[in-house]
Amino acid sequence: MILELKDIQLSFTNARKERFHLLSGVNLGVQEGEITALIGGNGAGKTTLFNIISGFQKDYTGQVLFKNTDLSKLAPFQISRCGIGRLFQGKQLMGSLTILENMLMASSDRTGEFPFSYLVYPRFLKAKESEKTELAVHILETLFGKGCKYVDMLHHPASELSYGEQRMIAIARLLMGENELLLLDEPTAGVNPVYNQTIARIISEMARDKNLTILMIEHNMHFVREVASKCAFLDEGKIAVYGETNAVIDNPAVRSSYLGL
Amino acid sequence: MQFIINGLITGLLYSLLAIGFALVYNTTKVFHIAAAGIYVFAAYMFWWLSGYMPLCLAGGISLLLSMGLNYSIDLLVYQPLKRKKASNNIALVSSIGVMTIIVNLLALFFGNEPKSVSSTFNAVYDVGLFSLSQPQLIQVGCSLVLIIGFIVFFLRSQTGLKIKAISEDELLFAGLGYNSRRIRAFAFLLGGFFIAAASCLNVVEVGMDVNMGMNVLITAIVAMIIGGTGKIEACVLGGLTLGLIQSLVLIHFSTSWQNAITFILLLAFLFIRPQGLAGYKQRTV
Repeated sequence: MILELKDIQLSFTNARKERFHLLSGVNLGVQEGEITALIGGNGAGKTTLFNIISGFQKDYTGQVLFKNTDLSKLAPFQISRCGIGRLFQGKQLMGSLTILENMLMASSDRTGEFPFSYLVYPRFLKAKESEKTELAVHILETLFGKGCKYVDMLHHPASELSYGEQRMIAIARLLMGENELLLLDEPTAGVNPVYNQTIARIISEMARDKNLTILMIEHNMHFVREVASKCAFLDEGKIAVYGETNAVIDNPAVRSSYLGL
Repeated sequence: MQFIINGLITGLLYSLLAIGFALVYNTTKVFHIAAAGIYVFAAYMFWWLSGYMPLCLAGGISLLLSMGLNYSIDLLVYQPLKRKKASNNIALVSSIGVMTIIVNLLALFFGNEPKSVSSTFNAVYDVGLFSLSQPQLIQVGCSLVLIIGFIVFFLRSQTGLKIKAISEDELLFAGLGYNSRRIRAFAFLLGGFFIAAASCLNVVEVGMDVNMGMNVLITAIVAMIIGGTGKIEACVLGGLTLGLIQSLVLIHFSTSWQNAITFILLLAFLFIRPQGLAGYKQRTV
């Protein structure tokens, strides 16, 4: 297992001072190299679970193990540096940065972090920047084809792209780092059917060609069937059903309580 | 011509202060009113130290102390509030409180009466259509070096890119593996440097009193908005524009009109061009 969630519990107090258990003992193991879908109703705690894994939510009990390392004491940036990349729900690219700058920001190569390093070794940094730019172009061309418009638009502000395009670049950006596990929060939310197909293709390619493990939250069941090999259904604070994707989606309990069928 | 030159020099000083404020505001989204306190603190440290040592050394130590104080405000006030998930409005009120405490402490130790830095810079140089005093020459020289150095640094270094990125989205920034506390610390230190530099350069010429900070800070904030919020380098454009217009107002009106013109200009920009001079309308998704 590359990622193990052991007895994750999280509760909140509501306005009436009542204790509300959002997660009441989540146990989940994610196999290396697999694409696992996490499904469940709105408010089931899927994004909260992602926040727990990536360190943004700390007041939980239980254990999050990534390659047998306990993540509970690590800050979000340290967890990211462990090799866990995340696509946020509703957060795309940084609009005022160019597409290239957005890609470079995700690079795991931190050379030049010292604020005045540009004055100390400018040539070395320039060479490093060229290397990273080449990698960014390579990633974009691999995923979207040679001569794709995003390569021509490298120096344009990311805000010039549409929502769906930003979503695709935000996924592509995850390849800039040395990530081993990707947490994708609704990769197809608000994206048109053509881009849905592209996203399905690039996620499958990322898992296959880069041997990445992917855990994704998704409400589009066609997409889940197409992309994910395993599926976990989160209901009433627990993983209620887990198994092969088709079996989980066709499970009568999932169909009635989540899909309303 | 003399009015234009004076206006541009004042504009350069506004730009320095606006850069200092914008560095903190863009990085943390805290409306750092305490910058007015830092501005006064730097001036008083400069004045006090200049009684014991050469002016340059006094200025240098004042800069370092102001950087430290600015960083301490983040460490002791803003960060604990952030950990308690306090809103930016609460941070703003706390910031006003911090400014008041700093100003009152300075008044307690050094008195309320206006002060001036005694210097030997009294020469005036005639340059054809206008004349420049020695303090003005120092203001122009130092401001230009600092502003050009900052813009090059901001546009070329990775730190500049990181400041732009954290301004956009702190959560995404951390999610990409960057330590936001480190870049925040850097923004407060560098912000303190620019606020103190603006203060020391200004008081060499016009002197100081404990209540001067707020008025100057508000003008610098207007300069930041006119230049284009979110683009730190645009503070220079806003600062120069504001300094120039304020100075030209003096040709026909008294100095008491300067503040009114500043706010009329602010309202005009907010209505007609809210993105500022250097900003552009972004596609929103």
